[in-house]
Amino acid sequence: MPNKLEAPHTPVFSYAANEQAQATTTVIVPLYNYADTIYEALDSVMAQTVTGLSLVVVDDCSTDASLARCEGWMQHNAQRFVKTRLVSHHHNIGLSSARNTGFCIANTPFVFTLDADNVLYPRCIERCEQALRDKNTAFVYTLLEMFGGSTSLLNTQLWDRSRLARGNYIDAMALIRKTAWQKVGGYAPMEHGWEDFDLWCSFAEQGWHGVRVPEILGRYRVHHTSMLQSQTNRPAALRQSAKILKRRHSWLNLQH
Amino acid sequence: MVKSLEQTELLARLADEKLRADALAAELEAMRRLPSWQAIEFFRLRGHKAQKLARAFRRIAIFILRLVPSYSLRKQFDDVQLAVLKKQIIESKLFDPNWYAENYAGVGDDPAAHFLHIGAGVGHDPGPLFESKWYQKTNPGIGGRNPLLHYLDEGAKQGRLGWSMQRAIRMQRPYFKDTKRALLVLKEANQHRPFPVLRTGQSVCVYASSEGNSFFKHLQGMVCSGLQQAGVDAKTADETSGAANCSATPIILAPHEFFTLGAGVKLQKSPAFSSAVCINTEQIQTPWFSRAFPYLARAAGVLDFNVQGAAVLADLGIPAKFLTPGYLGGDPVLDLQESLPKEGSTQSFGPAVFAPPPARHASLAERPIDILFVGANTARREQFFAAAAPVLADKVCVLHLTDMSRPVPEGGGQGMSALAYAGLSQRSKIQLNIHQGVLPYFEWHRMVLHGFWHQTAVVSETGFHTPGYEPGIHYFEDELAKLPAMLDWLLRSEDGQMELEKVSMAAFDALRSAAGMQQVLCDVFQIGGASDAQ
Repeated sequence: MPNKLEAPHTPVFSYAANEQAQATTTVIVPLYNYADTIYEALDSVMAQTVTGLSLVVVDDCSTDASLARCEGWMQHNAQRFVKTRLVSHHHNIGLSSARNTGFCIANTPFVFTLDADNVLYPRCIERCEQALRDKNTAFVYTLLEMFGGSTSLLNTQLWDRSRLARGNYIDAMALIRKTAWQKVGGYAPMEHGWEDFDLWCSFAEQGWHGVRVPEILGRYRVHHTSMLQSQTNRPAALRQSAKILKRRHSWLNLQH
Repeated sequence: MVKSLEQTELLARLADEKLRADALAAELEAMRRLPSWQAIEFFRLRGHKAQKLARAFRRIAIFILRLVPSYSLRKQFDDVQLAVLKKQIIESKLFDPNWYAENYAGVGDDPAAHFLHIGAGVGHDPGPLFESKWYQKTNPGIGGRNPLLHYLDEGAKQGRLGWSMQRAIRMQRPYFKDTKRALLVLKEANQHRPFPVLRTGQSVCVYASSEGNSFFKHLQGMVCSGLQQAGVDAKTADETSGAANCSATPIILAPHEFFTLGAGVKLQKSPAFSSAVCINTEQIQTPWFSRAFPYLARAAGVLDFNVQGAAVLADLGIPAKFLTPGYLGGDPVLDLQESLPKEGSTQSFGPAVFAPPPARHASLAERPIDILFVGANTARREQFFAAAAPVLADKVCVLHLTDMSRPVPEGGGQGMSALAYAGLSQRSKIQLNIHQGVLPYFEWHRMVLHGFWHQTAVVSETGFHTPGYEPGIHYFEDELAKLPAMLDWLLRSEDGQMELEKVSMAAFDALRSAAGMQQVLCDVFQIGGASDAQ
């Protein structure tokens, strides 16, 4: 395991069910100041239909009640999972690192990346596990219901490398093969939420693909205020990110 | 003898085209001489900022021209040019002299001349379908040009709509639910207008674009099989096949694709295809129908999958019949698919779905998929599915929404192949139908071909009816907002499950007992002297 991907952190909560219990998937939740939505996210993980499930939350130095709420929740609900861990980064490092730390801690073949402001429908992980079979499949994603602002769908398109070259169209919420994450060196430090795009591109370069499940099994929360804020920073920031990505993946043809 | 007749015909046609070309050149020259045009040209040559100025100027010019309506279009047409243009607009089937005289005052005894000289300039519609003012508004670039002529010469080819959604609805309103009336209109119209007939043993080619929608290729095969079963020597062909092979009138499926994709463009003016039988599958308010319309207008006959559409074509004076595809045994796509193709659209499925489907009359409970939806991705549909997500979440769904801005070739990237669609339909309890947009057509392809045909229960949003199938008996229908609750009831309650079985069987029986494909085509083309209800 590449230890350099695991940022220094303090264990806050740890629980393991009996030694015989086996999990196939670990849900990892990077947490940063989402105290108002974290319960909903975690409850939806608990409601999953799969039984062999583990949970890892990585707090990236939240300044609100996120950490305390998560700890309290886990104390009540840890027995549902094979392994439950809550860790806290020593410093605020960012989303990519939080995800990578989570991946390092997970000891299952599959990892599900859930953001702390999103929600899963109960059949999500079971259905995704069903679809992650072929050895060239690096990850699985489902249709997502957008809520909190618009009612529409995300992830309506199938995997298509040439479509990906024009821009990202697959959300970060996915079931990912841990060995694939490892092989490409994990999430790169990226601004503006493009670390998932970068990962999909890295997978494409390995000759792997993603598989899209044609069911709506996740909910993507739309935040009005953050969208407005990001709009004002958009053009320059995006150009910068686009440059970085183009350097890492020369086959990209981003339109900005 | 035959050769010289052909030659004479071709020479006459050549003379016609020459006259038309001259008339157009004269019109262009007249326009160029207008001060407004010259002013615009002056600015046009001066770059980007000047373009804005030119646009503003043009808007003012048009405003002024409208105030003095007959100025811009007071024609320098001579008698020959006038005759040619009158012929053009009447043949287009978009100018209806009777309708025009009834709807506008002071038309005089030559409505076509009135329209060309005056009417178009003041925004008169040439007929009940084409909307002059709306066309001008949505295509400001045409300036003072006669909107109908622009549409006929360029606009249709570019996929520009000649009429608004409201107009399309108005034309069809009498036939929304009253399909009997539509059939009556068709029957009466066809008593006065001959529709092409076929004889047993005749050879006929059924054309479809090789670069078009995979669904049309499948349909092409079905029509061909049905004709063959009726004793006609039918063959499939595409835009590269050439016209020489067949003796009977060619049949062209999806003319909006055939004449606009690939080598088909060169066939637009080909005499061999100028009066074919066209099979139209497109809805009136779509750019595809608008693209197809000039070919439908000159067709020897049009077969339309929508009874409402067929009736409207008949109202416009185009020989039309409603084609309701009948059951066809031995269809390679629609027969039970023992194995499901492995492609992008089926990649996520587990062994339960890839297993052979349950037998034809087995209970729906044995089918692994609860709800199937395959169709174009529109905002309206996305909204429905997002709102219905909580109800759909605990059911096994296959929701395949594709970007349909281009044709989806067989097996292409984001699409679903015809075999996969058929195979999934056979493995699903419910085929869901949600309308693309505002117009609630009876979606034959989804409901009959992939619903009733496979004994899959159809749950549809309320919409137009089609002869032979009743909501509540052959399929379920309800308002969009009530559909999630209905789906829950049908799949989760005992009563609902019983209803599901009953309705799916009733639909399949109706399809089988109504005319099979062979009989339908016999009736439509009066093959072997069959008399036709339409």
